[in-house]
Amino acid sequence: MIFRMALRNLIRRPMQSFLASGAVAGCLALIIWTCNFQDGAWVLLMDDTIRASAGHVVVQADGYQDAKDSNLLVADSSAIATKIRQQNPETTVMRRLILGGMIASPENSVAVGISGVEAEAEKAVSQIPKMMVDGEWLEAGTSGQVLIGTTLAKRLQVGLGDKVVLTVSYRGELQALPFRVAGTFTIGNASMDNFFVLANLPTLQEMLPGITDPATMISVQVEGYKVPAGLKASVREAVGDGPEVLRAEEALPELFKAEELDKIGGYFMWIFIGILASIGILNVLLMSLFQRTRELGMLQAMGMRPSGLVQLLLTEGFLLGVFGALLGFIAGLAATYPMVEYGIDYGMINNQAPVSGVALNTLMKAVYSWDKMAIWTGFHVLLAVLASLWPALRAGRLEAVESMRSQ
Amino acid sequence: MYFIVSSLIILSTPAPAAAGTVPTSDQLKALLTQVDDNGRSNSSHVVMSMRVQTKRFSRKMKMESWSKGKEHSLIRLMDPPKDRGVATLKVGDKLWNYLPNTDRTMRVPSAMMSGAWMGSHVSNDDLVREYRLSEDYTYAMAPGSASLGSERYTIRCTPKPETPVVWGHIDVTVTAKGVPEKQEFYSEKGKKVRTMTYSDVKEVSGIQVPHKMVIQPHDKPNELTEMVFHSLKLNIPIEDSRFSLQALRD
Amino acid sequence: MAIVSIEKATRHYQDGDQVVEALRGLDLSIEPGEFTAIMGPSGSGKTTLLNLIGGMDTPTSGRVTVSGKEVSSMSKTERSDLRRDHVGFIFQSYNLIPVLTAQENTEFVLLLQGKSEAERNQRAREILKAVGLEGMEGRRPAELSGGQQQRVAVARAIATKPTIVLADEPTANLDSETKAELIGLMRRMNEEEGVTFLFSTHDHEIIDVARRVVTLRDGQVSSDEHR
Repeated sequence: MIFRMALRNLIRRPMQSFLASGAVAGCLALIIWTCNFQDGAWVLLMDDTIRASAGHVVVQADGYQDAKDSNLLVADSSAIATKIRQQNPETTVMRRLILGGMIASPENSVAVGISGVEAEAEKAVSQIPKMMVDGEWLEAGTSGQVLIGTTLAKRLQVGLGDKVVLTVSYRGELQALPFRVAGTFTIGNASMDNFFVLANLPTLQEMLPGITDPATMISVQVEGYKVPAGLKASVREAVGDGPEVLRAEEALPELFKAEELDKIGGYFMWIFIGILASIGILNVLLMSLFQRTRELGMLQAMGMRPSGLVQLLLTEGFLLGVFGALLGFIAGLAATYPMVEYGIDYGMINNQAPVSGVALNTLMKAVYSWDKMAIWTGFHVLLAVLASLWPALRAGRLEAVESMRSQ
Repeated sequence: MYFIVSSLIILSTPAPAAAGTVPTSDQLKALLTQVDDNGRSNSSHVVMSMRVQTKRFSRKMKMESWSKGKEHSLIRLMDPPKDRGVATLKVGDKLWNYLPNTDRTMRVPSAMMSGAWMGSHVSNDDLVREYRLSEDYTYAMAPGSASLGSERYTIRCTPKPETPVVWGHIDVTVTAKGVPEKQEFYSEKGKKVRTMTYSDVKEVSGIQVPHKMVIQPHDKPNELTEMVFHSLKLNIPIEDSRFSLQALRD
Repeated sequence: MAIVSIEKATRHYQDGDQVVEALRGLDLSIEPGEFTAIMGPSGSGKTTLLNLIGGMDTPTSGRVTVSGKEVSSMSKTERSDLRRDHVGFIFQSYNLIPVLTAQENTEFVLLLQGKSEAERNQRAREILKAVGLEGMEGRRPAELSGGQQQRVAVARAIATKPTIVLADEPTANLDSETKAELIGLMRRMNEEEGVTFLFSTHDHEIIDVARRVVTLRDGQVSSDEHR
């Protein structure tokens, strides 16, 4: 009967009830949508970044992780890569050589970061092939090709086919080689479009004297997002002692930190939104408490205990919460759907990666984070009940004779 | 580009080509070798002034420089007073700067090699690059060279494909006696990018040396860098220790 | 033995800076089966008296005993239970829970008592039939006339067979015909079911049928007339 009373009390004030549960629904939908979107964005962002800048497991020269010194290189990299491949046939292994240096044209010269990559393997994991403005992605086996950002091309006043000179420094020696611009790309990130130069690994390797087949990193990648637990150990075994072998979390701590911080930030925002929702509920219940004081007095006159009144109002809050949460859940799902199916291409506005030197996919898609959705939905019901606690306790403290006197 | 100061110091040996005849390829090479070899195996001490004119500022400084062979050189500012003691040391392809007011010696990292040296139209990279016209370029008489008469030639030097220079070609104007007068740098598209003009030739220790050089970037018509030698001594004994990081601070 | 006994009850209210003395040492006892009207001018303490008996309020001093239980020393919850088990209330208006049907309103106190659904249901039907509302069990208060609403209030008040029914001007908002019907109904319930009624009223039609009329003046009993 209390339940029935509570329900009918809510139905009796459809506008108020709708507003209160609407507040819950709106907030929950917003949270579910942003949560799904944030999770989706991070899944892609993490995947892009891990694949483009490290690997699910990455092999680097000992000490490179801490020093990020481009002089610290792994020698005989293809032999090591082959060994890793043999031990883990399901993985993709690719090498990268990352150097600092300078690119010069007759008109200008600019400090740049140069990545030597294996053209075919890199094409599969990099977003840059999709961002080519002019020319083509690197061609394996062709020497002397570079890809540069459009901003850099403009500063150098060079275009497709034009000569540029790359100078790198290795162990204090400057080495220079002429290259031809094979393509330009726009990532949408000013510093990358101005700083990032891509070349074929073998060509770049030629520039470094005194080391055979060098690489900055050997990136080991698996399909999908699930990394086998034993992969690091297995790679370590193939590599032997010497180079450092790191999992993505170890190689890219800033990425994982950024994700964590972003999600914590998300929680604060969502809790804030949740509080807004509960203020809506609180408001409606307090209003109805004031409007119904005499009615509540009558319930007391009939012998309903203070606890019964508390229960009644809590039930009303609970029902508002359940209704709102249900509505919000459905609305959140509905809002998520197009984001999962089509995503948002936020385009070239601000392709800002938490880890520098990574071109991110600009098409962000949401995922259905069922567990989080369930938690948030439950959390909103709980919030509604918590929000009704105060009005409920006030109702419990009402003096029967006072409430009967109110009109 | 070769080292600025050294580039001005040209060994003037008798011209291999007889005046009025078209030089052979070997003769061109000999002329370019003279431009390349400019006495770098020798030591030098020079006091010079540099004037830099840019859109934003105009500055004039006086400096003292020592060099030994092609590997070592040290340049120290004497004037203006606020920059006094600022010095640049080159050993091989490495470059260090010393700033006396912070008492700091800084190795110029590769990323900063593109920066302007002392605000001039010479980059740090220009100071250390070592390519030889006579070896890293192919060469031929430039079109129109004949119109210069018999006393000078313009030789078109085109970098070999593997030579890591940005130019499409360089037109070097040299007297029949092997004293450079002008170098014009072109992009591959044939656009003239900058010109270096040598003048005020004086004899030092029996060698013809231009005492003035002007670098003019063509994309900035109102800008230039001008260097003038006030005193030049060649083939003087200089201790190797002068080209040390310790000496840089003195 | 008296089911309600009040000894030297006073009740003072703070109204702004003034202390209102609603009751000033009132003595009264009610025997089972009474049909008593309490009259007196406004402010004479009628409603306060009913509130004290119903455990809605506690005396400032003196004793109020209902069914042998001392009300003034009870906790709020105990007073709730007292009302639930021993007291039926009928008010002047707004007597019913607007969101519940006549049937549900009648069942409500039985529900609070923890009676089974079947028992509640049967008892409510019985009583509604007895008050002449057969066939209207499913209507909400808004769908009933004022007289019908007061009948439901009576039905609800007596459904639990309370020790005493306290009716605070129950006929004040009714036309004379409806009023007569309601008074007849309560009189009948008093005679047939033995329900004890205590009214506060100005209404002569009630006073005429009352078997005892207590008059209050200035918070004290000024006359107590048994007929």
